Amino acid sequence: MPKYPMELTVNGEKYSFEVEADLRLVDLLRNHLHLLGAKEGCGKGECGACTVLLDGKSVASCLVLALQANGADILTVEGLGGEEALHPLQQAFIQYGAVQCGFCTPGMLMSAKFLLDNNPRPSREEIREGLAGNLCRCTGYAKIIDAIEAVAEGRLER
Amino acid sequence: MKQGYIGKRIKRVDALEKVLGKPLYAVDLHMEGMLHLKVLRTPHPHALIKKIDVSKARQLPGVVQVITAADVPWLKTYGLIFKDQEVLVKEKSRYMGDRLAVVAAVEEKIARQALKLIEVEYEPLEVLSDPLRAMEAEAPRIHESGQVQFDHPYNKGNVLAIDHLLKGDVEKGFAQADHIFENVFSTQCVDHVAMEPEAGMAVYDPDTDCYTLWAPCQWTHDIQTDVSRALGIRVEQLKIIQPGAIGGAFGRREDISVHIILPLMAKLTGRPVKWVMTRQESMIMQTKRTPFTFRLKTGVKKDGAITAWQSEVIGDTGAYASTGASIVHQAMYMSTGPYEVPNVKGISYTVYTNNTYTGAMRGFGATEAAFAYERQMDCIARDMGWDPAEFRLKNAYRIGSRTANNQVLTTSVGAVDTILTARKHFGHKGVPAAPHKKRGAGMATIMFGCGYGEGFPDHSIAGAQVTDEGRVLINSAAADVGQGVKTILVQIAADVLNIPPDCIDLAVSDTASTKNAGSSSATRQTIFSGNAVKWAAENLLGKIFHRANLELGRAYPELSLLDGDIILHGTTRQMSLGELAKIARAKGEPLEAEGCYFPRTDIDYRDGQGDLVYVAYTFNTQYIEVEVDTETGQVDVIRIVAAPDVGTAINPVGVEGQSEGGAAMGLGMALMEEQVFHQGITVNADLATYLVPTALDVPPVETIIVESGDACGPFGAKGIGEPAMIPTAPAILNAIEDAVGIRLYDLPATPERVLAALKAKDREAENE
Repeated sequence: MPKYPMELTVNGEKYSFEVEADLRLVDLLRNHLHLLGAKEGCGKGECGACTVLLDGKSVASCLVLALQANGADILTVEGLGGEEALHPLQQAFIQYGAVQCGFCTPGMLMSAKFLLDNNPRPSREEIREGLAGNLCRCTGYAKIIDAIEAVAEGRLER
Repeated sequence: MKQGYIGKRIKRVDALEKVLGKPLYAVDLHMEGMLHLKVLRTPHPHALIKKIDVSKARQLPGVVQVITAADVPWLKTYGLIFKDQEVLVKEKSRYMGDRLAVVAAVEEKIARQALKLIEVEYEPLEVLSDPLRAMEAEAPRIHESGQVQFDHPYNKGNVLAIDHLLKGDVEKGFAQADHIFENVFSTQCVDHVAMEPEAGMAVYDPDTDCYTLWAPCQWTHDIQTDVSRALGIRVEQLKIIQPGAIGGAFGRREDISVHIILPLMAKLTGRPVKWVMTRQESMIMQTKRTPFTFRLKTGVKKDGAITAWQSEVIGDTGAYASTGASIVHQAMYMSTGPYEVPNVKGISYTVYTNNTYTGAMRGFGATEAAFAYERQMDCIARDMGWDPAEFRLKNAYRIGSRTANNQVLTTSVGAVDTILTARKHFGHKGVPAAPHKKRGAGMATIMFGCGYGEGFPDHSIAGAQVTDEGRVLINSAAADVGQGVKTILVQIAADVLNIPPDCIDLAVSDTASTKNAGSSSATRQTIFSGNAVKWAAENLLGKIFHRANLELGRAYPELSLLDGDIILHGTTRQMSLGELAKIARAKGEPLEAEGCYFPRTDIDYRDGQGDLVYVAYTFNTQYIEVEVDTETGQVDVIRIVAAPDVGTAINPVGVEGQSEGGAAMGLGMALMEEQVFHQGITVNADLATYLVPTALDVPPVETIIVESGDACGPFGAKGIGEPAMIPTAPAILNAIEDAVGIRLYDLPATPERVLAALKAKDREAENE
């Protein structure tokens, strides 16, 4: 299969690739860049575990072809915040007990960031709507919603 | 008694790395030169395999190896209790997930293409999808041999096991009753939908003839034993390493999935191999929640006392036994709920069909039983004019009660407390949003036996040591599948040793360096590994004080241990734990200790009676408010109040997390989840057609923890994982009946079913 050139900015770093037309963004991130935070839970855009931000918009990276993202700016959980400088959402997820098995966590964090970027003070109902595309089988969502609400309301302990 | 770190809302020990996206799950593993595996599964749930031709697949560039059963005739069968599963099927398929061929290729894409080049000729057989048909004497046999023989008319069909429960004299009990209630309830096939699909990686070392397997296991040591047996190798030739994190389990990782084929292919190809299943494959192939039918008959006196209870239970284990027979008889044992009944008679049938095989899923029979008995209790209360809570309080277990298994309950019986607590916090139902919407309130109270129980050998071994750096290292094989057992074990050790949790590490869990901790199932790790770690830490504390006494010339109480230092009171002298550990090691007595919890239980399988059938029982009551749309049949759950009795909450955040997640899973089972089989073929093997609750479906869950403080686990604790979800489905259906007066007997209560029942009720009203 022929390969095509493409460029991508991921977590602030610029990359150039030659990729096959059927390569998905999730594979590019995981297999080529070894950014393993985004998880593939279904491969059909149903579970949200592979959510990343593409030019600031949340996408299921299993439904985006790598070439469709040519020239785009991608943010993954690895670019959200580091161990020494946690993003408030990461800090809140820890404080509020929003993490259990953790497989959905990177996708949840990215959907939450997209929500707060576009609606800094969402209601609880708006938070639930913002997470509707991300499945979690462990937590029942309550503590995830609590964590996001705490960030939105500036109630985070420093 | 609560000490320094028990009962505290300690942060999860693995939360930081998880919010950074750092832990390596099985799907993230990688080795240079590794091959990718794909498996061809049969499209026919029941068919003879006449011919398999893999020659074209073998010729595809990039394909390294293709095998069928004919290439590996030496493989043995496997299975959790009954060894009735073939690694690759030889002569016939028994369900849609049966494996015909394995492909190893340099790319996953090539392996997928190769599957399409394999040609198979089948001769379809009658598909047995209905357990009642499968039980008929003239039904074709799914398994020709290996079935347990019973002196019972049904044993001519596909019955795997028949079990009994006999307490008192049920006929006498019914004769004493003023009212008899008979109902039939059914529960559906459910997928765990753990967020991480089945995956793993393996390597083989020809120099040592040893295998290394990385794959999630709820119990590494039991999987190691079963895999070794199937491969025909000694147990110590296979090392299983638990991946850095596990993406959920809920019972499905108790059974083998990737665990035999990966090491097998690593040896046959001589290269590292990795296998990640698709969601569809995972949903078709791996164990499911056992579908059940319960025929219940209950005798009640005018004063509300239950005099007799009879249960006939049929469970569809699907194509293979797995733990099906144990799940089905546990459902029967639990079928009277947390209620004292002097006369009980039960019979249960575990039946093979060509549906996807079933196994452990959160509740292990107790969830399905609770749906039946809590609907039955609610129907009785309603028909006799009792308040639902008062009727349950009248019959609920107390200290001194005898269970249906005839065990006398002597400690930690929270049934009544959970009812009173949940009722108080629930208050009253609210006002509906529109005239065509109706509000209802429902409750359910349940019990769950923690640990394997029933005389099954059940234990956990843990180690604890002080390192030269002065840190404490805990060594336990208890699998953290997301439930948080790692944090619980750290808290327990921190409390015993009076050392901050962040000074404690957990060793990597593998079968070579840890001892058996049993399964992260049966709501048992807090009790079993919790006790094992507590005793290991106490033994370690003894060694620390003994060594400090020798080195410092002072004994307890002049010595104490504070934040990782040995303090000598009344002086400025102190010694760090690390220094002490170095001295101890140099003198040949390292600061290491082990603990084991290995209680004995019993049962007589002839009548299901025993003195100590389970070491502890967890009780849980939920009150749930729903709103039913009478035009569409849609049921919205408005709020859930849960009052679990956990003995002692080691970490309240963990208990709440289980309670909230369990309620969400119970909501899914109540209203939307069902794996649908048409003639054994799964028709909804994806998350667009198999619906699980989203953030929009799950209402606020208010958890009020009930603590009796006297259970057999560490610091009086018992488990919560499974009982967290058990009351939810019956409480929701009880609430629907309260809202609109329809009596539903089957799960799930989909809008279609609710609407059909509403229409039937309207027709009935018109006819009257």
